[in-house]
Amino acid sequence: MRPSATSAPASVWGRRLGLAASLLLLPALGTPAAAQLLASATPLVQRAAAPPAGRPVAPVLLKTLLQAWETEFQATIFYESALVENKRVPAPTPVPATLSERLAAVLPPLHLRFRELRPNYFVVTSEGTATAAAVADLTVTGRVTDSKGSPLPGVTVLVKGTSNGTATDADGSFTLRVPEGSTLVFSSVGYVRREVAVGTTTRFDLELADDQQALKEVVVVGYGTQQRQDLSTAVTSVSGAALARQPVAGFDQALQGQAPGVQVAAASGAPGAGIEVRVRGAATLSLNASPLYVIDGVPVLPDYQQEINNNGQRLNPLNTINPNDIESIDVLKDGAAAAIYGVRAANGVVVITTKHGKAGQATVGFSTYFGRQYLRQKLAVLNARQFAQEFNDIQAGAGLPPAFPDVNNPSPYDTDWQNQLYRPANLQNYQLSASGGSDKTRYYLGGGYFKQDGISLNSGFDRYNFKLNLDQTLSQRLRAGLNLNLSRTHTNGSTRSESAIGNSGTVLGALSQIPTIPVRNPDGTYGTNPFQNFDNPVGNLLETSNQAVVYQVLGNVYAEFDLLKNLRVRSSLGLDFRTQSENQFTTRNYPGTGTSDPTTRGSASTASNNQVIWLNENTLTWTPTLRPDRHHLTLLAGESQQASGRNTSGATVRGFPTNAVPYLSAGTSVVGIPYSYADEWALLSFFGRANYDYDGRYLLQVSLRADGTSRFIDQYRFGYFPAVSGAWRVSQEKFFPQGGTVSDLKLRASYGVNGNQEVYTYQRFSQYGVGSNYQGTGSTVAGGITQTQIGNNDLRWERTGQLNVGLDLSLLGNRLTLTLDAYDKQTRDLLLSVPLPVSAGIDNLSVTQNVGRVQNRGLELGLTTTNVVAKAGTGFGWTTSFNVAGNRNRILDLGQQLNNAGERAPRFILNGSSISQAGSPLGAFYGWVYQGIVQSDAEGAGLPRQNNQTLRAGDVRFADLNGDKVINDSDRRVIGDPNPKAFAGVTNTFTYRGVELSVFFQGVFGNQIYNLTRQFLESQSDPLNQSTRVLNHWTPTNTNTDIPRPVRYDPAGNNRFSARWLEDGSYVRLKNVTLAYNFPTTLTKRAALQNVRLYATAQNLVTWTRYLGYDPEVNANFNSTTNLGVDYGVYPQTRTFTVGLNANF
Amino acid sequence: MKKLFTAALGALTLLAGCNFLDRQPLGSIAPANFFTSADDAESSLTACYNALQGTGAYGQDLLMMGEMPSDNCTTTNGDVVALDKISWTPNTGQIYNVYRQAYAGVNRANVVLKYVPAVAMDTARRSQILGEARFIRALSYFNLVRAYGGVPLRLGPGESGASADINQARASADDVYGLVVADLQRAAIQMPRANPNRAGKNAAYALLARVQLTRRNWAAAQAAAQAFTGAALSSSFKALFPAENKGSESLFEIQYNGSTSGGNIVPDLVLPSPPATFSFPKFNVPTAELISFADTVNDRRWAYLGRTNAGRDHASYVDGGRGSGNDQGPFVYKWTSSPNFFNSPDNTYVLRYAEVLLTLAEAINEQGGPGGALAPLNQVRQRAGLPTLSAISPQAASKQALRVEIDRQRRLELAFEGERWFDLLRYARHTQADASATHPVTALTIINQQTGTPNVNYLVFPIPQGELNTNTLATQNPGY
Repeated sequence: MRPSATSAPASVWGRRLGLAASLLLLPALGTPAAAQLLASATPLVQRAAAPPAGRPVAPVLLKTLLQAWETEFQATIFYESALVENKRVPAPTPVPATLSERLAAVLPPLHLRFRELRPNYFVVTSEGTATAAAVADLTVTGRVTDSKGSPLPGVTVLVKGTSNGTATDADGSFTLRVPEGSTLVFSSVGYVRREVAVGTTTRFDLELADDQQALKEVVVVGYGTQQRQDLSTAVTSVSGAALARQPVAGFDQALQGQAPGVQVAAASGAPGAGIEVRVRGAATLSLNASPLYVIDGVPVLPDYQQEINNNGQRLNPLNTINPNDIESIDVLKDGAAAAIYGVRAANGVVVITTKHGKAGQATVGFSTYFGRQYLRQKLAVLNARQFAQEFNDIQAGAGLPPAFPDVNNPSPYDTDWQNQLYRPANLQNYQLSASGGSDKTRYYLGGGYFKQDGISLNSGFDRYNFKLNLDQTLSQRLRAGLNLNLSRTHTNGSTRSESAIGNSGTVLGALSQIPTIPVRNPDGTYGTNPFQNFDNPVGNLLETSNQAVVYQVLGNVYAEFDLLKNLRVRSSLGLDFRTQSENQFTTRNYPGTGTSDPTTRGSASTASNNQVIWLNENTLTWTPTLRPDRHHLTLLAGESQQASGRNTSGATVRGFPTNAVPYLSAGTSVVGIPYSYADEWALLSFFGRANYDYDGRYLLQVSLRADGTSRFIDQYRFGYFPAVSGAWRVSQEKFFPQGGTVSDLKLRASYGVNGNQEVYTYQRFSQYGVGSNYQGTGSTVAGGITQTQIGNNDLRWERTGQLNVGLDLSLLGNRLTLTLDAYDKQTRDLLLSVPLPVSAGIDNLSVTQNVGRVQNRGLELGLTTTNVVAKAGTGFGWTTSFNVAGNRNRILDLGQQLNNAGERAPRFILNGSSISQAGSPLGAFYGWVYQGIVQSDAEGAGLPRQNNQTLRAGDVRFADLNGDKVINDSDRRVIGDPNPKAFAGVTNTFTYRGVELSVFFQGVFGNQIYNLTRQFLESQSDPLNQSTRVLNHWTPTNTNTDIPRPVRYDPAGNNRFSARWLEDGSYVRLKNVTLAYNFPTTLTKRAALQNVRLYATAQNLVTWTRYLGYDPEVNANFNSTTNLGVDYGVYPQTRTFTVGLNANF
Repeated sequence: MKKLFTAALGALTLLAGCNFLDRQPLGSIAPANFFTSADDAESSLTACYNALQGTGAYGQDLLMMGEMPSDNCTTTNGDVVALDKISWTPNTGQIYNVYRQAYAGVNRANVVLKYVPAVAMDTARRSQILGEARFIRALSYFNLVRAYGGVPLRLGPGESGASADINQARASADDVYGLVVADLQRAAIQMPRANPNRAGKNAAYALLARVQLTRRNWAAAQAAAQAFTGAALSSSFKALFPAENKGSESLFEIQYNGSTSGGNIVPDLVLPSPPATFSFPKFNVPTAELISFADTVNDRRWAYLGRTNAGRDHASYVDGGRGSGNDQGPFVYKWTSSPNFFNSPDNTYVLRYAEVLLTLAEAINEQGGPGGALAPLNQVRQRAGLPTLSAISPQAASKQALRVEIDRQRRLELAFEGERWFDLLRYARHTQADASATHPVTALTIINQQTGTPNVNYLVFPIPQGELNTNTLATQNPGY
């Protein structure tokens, strides 16, 4: 710091004024009128000798010191005797030149203030009694720059120990009125914080040093914050800026590739669809495996509920949050970090902090982007001529007559269904925000609109949201505030957009509907497949709709009160209110298939769901002052209660005489019984946490949460989730070489227990159902009600224990920081549906039980490097952020069951093409072993029969695993694994003057995908269009191929699930490239703008993969932990180009 | 602020005290919110009767199980051929379905017996409901024990997923019969004599008589069969069919109303087309041996009545008579009105008085010989148009001679009503227990014909594989 000298005129020194004058002033000072002890200090005989520099200074009596200085400066210092009596101070060393500076150095530690009433005339008062008015403020000004000399806007300038402060403007300048003797604190994210005593200096021009390692970075850890250097757990932070770069609907999608160990996949490319987030693998088989999201303190566990089941399409409740409103995301990954959230933390906790205002000049920000989305690629399918030939071959394979007598002129039509179905679509986003505040009030206001049209006809998503965060200092000890998000999302989808073949799924329809028919016949009706009941995908999309609207209010109000100086109580009341309504309509023109129930044409369904989850949390935080001051302790105790109430209803109506009104009232007959139901759940929790460190070297954290839940009976109601973690900052040790290559080294270890309770809220109860009716007297029917499902009072949460060891390392003055973690996460008491004995006599012969164990183990590496440090103001800068993680999951135990031989054997659960069994990973693919193509009928005759057929030349042969000469269900085994071996992300950011280029690659490695879509496109057995790959099918003259002979109805089962359909799902994707230009301040200032940023972004620009489907980022069974990695008619991912503008006023 | 804090703390304690975590089901019916009124008691009892209606019980498979293996019926339909040929295994569909559905009856009755006693309602009606539930539990357990031997004895509704509760070993057959008898004796006290469309006192006695006969407790069977009042044979055998709550001979029948929620599928399974809706190889086709065994001229139960568009009508069977195919030959004719697309309104008899009379005759004959047995037997013969027997009739010449005559009448009277195989099993066990008691045909005769050896293991059905796979304590019957 180079404070410029105060301009105290030397000429006034040595003048003394009368006592009377000062007494007259007293009432105005607010000093008690009974200040009878006010006394003028009398000159001292001896002077306080300045001790030699470098030697410890013995404390002296304050009174003695003041008297000495009065003499030295010929000044008068007034004080109440009681204020200075018996107080000792170390004499300041070196001794400042002016009396003001000397007083500023010694008085504040004693909680005393002083004020120069007029030159050389001082009054000393206590901190407590001096009101703001009593001690005149100084106006201080200054300018803050970075190490390169560039102005730093938005730096918080605070008077230490108060909330009085401001922020620097675009030029880095600030003006602030501060009490005399105060200390200014300058802080800004990414820079080293500085404290400067004001003294008599009023002008501050200073530099803030870069804080590359961000060791002082504040991490939100649940019910509190910690500095990163003090963490003993595994927490990854992602800044809002990294999220905002990506033009996507939700923050969950933008998290992809940003945090080691956090695997994010868009199961479907449909706008507004759910995103799968897995923190360190899935720690459950049948429950929700999504992490718990804590949004500004309100826990949200998304259940992706959709009232009207649409082929597994799921709304994403997290889309109600605008990513632009997010300040930072902290992912609590290890068991110890997450344990404070107890029963809901087994799959990790994602803590989201939204933007808050900063004291100082108001900032108005406007940001927008506009983009176009394109189908990444079309899949190559046959044209009309090729199809005609192929279908004739298929017919011939089964000895059937050709369907197309003239393959050269099969049809007047040659429809490319993908061209008919997909279109380029717009993407737009607008956001207006205002933030700022005074020393008492800080605010952030935001309003946004996001609209994503779908690349498939009749699909899209849009969102309106409003954000208000308010923080108010009510008194020195009391603060209160509000975080609020209001939003409306609208997901527009056809009921037929995804999955299933035939009378549904248009993605499959576009690929497999035959090219020889038109979209519409000349008479306007939709073209239909003449060979098979297979509907018209365009007609399906256009003639059905599903509109889902969600309104959400999410937020909380809080009050914080300092009971004692170090003891703070905080109370908050949170709310998650959500109302969701869906309207489905199938028009009278809906083509369907020839055999569709005609009454489904012209039908509508509606369903709505509203849910209120309220939350009350009360915490007590105590930070005692310990001696010696190398001990640091923070204690947290808290209580939380949360309850949910939900109401749901729905109805279906048919017989619409017109398409004019797509709502139920226009229909004529009700289908089934309209329904409604309600449910509730509640959680009551107590928790405590202690953080202790010794000298910043040895860190220890212990915590315990007790969660009581309404889902289990009394004796299992409360679960206890303890955690302990410790860390050793080796680099803080005396023996550790300072200033060497290694600037920081920390070793961490933790163990924590978390739970998962997400069975249906009434799962433990026996359920009764209506419908077991019986004839009464005469023609009446008596309604019967009886038990339909067994309860289980033994239910309790799944328990996950997680061990984590980690290392944080910074090299070369923080130019390289590295975080390495290894974990072993074991979940036991898995909640599974287990078959009941037939003799239980219940309709539903299964019960939920705590059975089995699953394990996730893995390694994570995060690396941030500053490859080239930008030279002051001009040069080229380059930073890299890289992360990679690998997770291995394995089912350890699923309990026992009796097999058909009556023996006890390990239980396995078959779920289509996937199996869950001990020793296999979750969702292991289970199928037949492909052994190539039979080359001659003679060879086929000697092989085991398949589907009771003798194999012929061109058929596929499968391994006869049990050697019984028959290929049947017993010849299946685990043939693949849908779980990636590793996933990674790397972002390179290059800056040159105002230009910034960021390049983000993301990749997934070593997983397999069951390409069920391709199974249809290469089945060569039905009158459906096929992939061009079938042109290479086996013939006696084309034997070197992996595609068998075409044959109608596939008699030998060539197309059964085998490695033929398993593909390597590895990919590397250039996920995001952003080129931005920040206009120079000199330019923007003229336009009254703080800063302007113009950018262009390409999303999903290039993907390197061997996968043959639309996209390797795919999952037809959303959020399933046991049936994943299947590509079956999933809405394709898009490639997006956007241009955008951010401006701050 | 301090006040506020205290208030908040107070509110918390209060909430915790008010069982904040106690959330009972709102949108679904559960014991906690059910069983609060007489209506709830009634509808839970209705569900018990519904269990008897299902396809695993009298709606289909129990009738197939009781007739297909016997000498009464045969089939070419693959669905039931395993029963016909005695080639059943633990995985045979009907073996599973009957077991499962019988336990549905048990569990539903257990629900009533557990919860209805605490329902505030008219005490007489409540007692009657409990009696009816006991009757249905007894009928279900009886059907289980005579088919499978000893089975797990579940005395309360399944309400816990705990392994100790859901896994249960098989009780001995004696214990199961013990419960059946106790339930029926209690039910007979609790139920009224007349209970239209439902089970009453007479049904309990009729079933008790059948149970005691199966146990060869001749005196007890006689006592039960004599406990009747108000029951009498219908004057016309033909008029008894289809069952439609006619007269005092009907003691208990399964009700069907012909709608999709309560239709009987059996008529479509056994009748030729027309009147059946569809033509396919029928179930329970009468054997040629049975037709030749019956006196189709003088016995009104088998006599030719005339022609309908379906074929030549006899009281118990219809002869499709056409050239060939599915609809040629004799067919069961005890469900005669419209099959109605598997939703026939015809009821199915479970108990009727004619059987009680035959049981009485058999019980008396087994105790003291022909003397007192002739009177009840003659009632049945008379109604069939057969001459009454006297002490000098050759059929009444000895206990053994009358045993053969009673067996004969039982077969002819109750054919196709689901009892023949169980009677044959009873005869086989009777001979096993008492070598002097010979029955002309027993189950072992049939087993020997079908399998080549008189394998006693086939005297019980196997425990279904589904149970063995899920109930860790269950064991299989010998030989399966």
